[in-house]
Amino acid sequence: MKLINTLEKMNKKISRRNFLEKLLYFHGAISLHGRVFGSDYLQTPNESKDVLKYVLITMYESPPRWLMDSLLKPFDDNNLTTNPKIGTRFFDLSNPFEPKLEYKTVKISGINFPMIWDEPIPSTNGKNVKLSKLANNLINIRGCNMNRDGHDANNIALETPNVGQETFCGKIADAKDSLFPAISLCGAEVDKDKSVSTSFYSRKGLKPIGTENDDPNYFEQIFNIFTKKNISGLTSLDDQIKVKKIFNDESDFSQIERVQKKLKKIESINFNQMYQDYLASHKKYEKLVKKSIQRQKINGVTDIAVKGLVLPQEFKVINDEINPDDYLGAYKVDDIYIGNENIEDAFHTANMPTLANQFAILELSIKYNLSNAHMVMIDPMSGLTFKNSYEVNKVKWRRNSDKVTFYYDDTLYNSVKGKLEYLNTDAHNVGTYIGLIGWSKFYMAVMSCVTEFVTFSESFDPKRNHFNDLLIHLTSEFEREPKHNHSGSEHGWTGHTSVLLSGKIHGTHVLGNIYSNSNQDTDMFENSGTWGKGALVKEIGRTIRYVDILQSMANLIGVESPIKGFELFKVVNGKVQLNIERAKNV
Amino acid sequence: MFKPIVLFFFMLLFTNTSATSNYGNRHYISNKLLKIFGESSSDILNSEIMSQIQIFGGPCSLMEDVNQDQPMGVNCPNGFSDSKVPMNSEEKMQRSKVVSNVCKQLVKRDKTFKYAIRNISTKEDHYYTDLIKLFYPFSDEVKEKVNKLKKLNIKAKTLDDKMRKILELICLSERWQKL
Repeated sequence: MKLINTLEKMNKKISRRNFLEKLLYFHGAISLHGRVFGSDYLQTPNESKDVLKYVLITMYESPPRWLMDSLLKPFDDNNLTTNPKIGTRFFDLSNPFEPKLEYKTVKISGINFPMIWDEPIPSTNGKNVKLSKLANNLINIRGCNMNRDGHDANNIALETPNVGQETFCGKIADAKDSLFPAISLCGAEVDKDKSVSTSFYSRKGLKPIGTENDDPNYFEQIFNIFTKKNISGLTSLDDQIKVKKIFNDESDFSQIERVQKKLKKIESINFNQMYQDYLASHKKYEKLVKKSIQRQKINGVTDIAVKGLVLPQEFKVINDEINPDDYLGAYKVDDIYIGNENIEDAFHTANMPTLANQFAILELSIKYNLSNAHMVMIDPMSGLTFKNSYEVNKVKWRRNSDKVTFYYDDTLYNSVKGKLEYLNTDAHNVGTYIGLIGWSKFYMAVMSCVTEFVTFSESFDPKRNHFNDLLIHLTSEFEREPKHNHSGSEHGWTGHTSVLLSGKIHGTHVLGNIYSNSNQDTDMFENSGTWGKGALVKEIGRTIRYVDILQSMANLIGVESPIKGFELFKVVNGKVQLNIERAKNV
Repeated sequence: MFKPIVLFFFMLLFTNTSATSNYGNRHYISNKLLKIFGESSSDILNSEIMSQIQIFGGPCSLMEDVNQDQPMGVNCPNGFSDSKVPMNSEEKMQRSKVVSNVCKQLVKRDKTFKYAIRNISTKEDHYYTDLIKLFYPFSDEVKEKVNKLKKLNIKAKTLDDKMRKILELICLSERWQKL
C-alpha cells in the first residue's frame, strides 16, 4: 500500500515531459562518466593483455553428435531411454532392415563418453593415440536450447544472437590487438553468406581475413596479397602518411594509420618460412584425415562387414500408406539406397580435403601469433563411391494383402553405380548404416586434427605451453532427433552441445540437463528417447541458452560478452567451479 | 523550449557513435583510375583490381556474366560465387595494400603518367590544384590542401618528377576511394 502511495506521488510530481528530460540527463551523465572514468560504456574498449586465443570449430549443418561429444549418459545414475537409431556401434544386425545400435560408452575421469573416445586415432608419429587425452582439459555443455530452428540463423548465432551488434570474435579482436583481427576459415562447401563469419562485427571497425574463394591452397588465398612484393614508391612513407592526414578527417585517418602500421608489421613476416611451415602442416593433416576416413578401423563400426541392400525384398506391411523408407531407410543416403556391397568400401575414396588446410592455417596462426580469434567452418565429407546402388525414385513396390515387395524398376540396369559428391552433414536422409559408419569416420578425422592441433600448441614452443593460452570451442548449430524410421534425422534445435578445450581448464566437466524422453510440442516425433533435448536447469530457472555459453566463454577468455547471460562455470587457477548442478537426465 | 535543445546537444556531445566507411567497389576504383591514367592502365587495373572481386566487392551480374558455374573472365573470375560478394567494400588491409601498389605502378609507368598530366598546367600554383582535381574534382577546400601539400617541400630534379611524386601522394591519399 505504501509503495502504491509513493508511486502515485511520483506520478503527480513527474510529468511525461519531465520524465523524458530526466532520462536525457541520465543518459548524458552516464556517457560523461564513461568518458571521464574510462568505462566501456559507449566507448571503444580498452585493450587487455590477458586474453585467450579463441578457435571456434563448427561442424556446419549439424551432423548427429551423440556418437561423439553429445554425452547422453555422462553419469551412471542418468536415466537413458534408448532409441534404436541412436548408438555408438552396431549391436544386432540379425534383421538387417531393423539394425539395432548400442549406446556403448567408456569411462574417462568418472564420466561416460561415447565409445569412440577410447578408440585409437591416427597421429603424426605413426602411433595411435586416444581421444581420451583431450578429456583432461574439457568442459562439455549440453542441453542448450537454441530457441529457433534453421541452420543459417543458428550458425550465425554462434557469434552472437543479436546480429548487427558486436559479436564474440569482434569483442576479442577489439580487446587485444593482433596482426589480423580474426581469421575466418570457411570450408569450400559452406555458404559464406549464411555462416558465422558473416556476422562478425567489431566496434573498432576491424574485419577478419580469411578464405574468400574456392582456391584449394588456403595459404595463397589468405596471404597472397601480403606476400606480393611491395612496389617501391617515389615518395617517403612519412610524406605518404602526412598526405593521408591532409585528405582524410580525423577518424578516417586514425583507421588508415592503424592499417598502415599493421601492413608495416606484416611486411616483416618471413612469408617464405611461413609457407614452408604451412606445406609441412598441410601434409601432416592431410595424412591424418585420409587415414582416419579411409583406413582406420573402429571397433563395432567398421571392423564388421555390413552388406548393402539386395532387391527385390518382401516385407510384412507396417502402415497402410507405403513409404519405402519405413522398410529400406537404413540403407538410404540422399537419393540412393546402397546396393549389394560392403558399405564401408564406399569410404575408400572419401576425403575431407579442406580440413587439412584449415588446421594448417590454425597452426600458423598460433606459431606466428597472427590472430586471437578464429572461425573454422568444417566441410562435409566428400567423394564417396558405391559400386552398386539403387536410385530411390526407381524403387517401386507391389502390395499383396499384408505383404509388400520392393523391386527396382529400371529396364536398363539392375543397379547403378553411385557417386556421392558429399555425405550431407544435414543428415535428413542419411540412413542408419551410412550414418553410423560415416559420422564415426567424420569425427575420427575432425578429432584426429583437433588432437594434433592441441599437441602442437602444447609442444612447438619449448618455453611455453600455448594450449594454456587457447580456448577451442567445438560445436555445431544443434543436435539431431532421429526420424521414426531408419532413414535419417531431423533438426534438434532444442538441444545444442558446445565442447570447450583449453589448458586453462583442468579436469573433465559436463553441464546441462537433457530430457531422458520428451514428448513436447517442440519434438518432431513421439518417444524419441534420450537424444540431447535441453531441459530445465534449476539455478537458471530455464534451459541453458546460447547466451549463457557465450557469457561463460567470455569470462574464461577475458573479454566482455557481446550479450549478457548466466555464467555456467568459473575457472579459477585452472579449477572449474560449476555454477549449476551436475548434468542430469530428467 | 530552450531546455530540450540544450539537452539534445548535451546528449550528442557525449554519445559516441561509430560507422564503418564504405569504399567504392572494384568498378568504381578501376573506372576512376582508368579515367585518370588512360587505357594503358587497363592491364594493371584488370589484374590487380577487377579480378580481386572478394577484396573490392562489386558482384558480377547473374544475368549477364554467369551462365554456369564456370570462371567467366576478368569480370567474374570465380564463377557463380562472384555474384554474391557485397556491393561495396569496407576497410581491409588487403585493399589498402593493393591500391597502394597499383598507384605506385601507374605513376611510374611513363605512358600512364603522361596521360594523367596531359592537361595539367605547368604553373606552380595551378599544377597542385589540377593534380588534386584529378582525384577530388568536387573538393571545396583545394586551396587549403594545396598549401598543406606545398609545406611538404617535395623536391625533384625536373617538374615532371615533382608532378610524379605529388600524383603518387594524392593517389595514395585514400579518401577518393570512399563513397
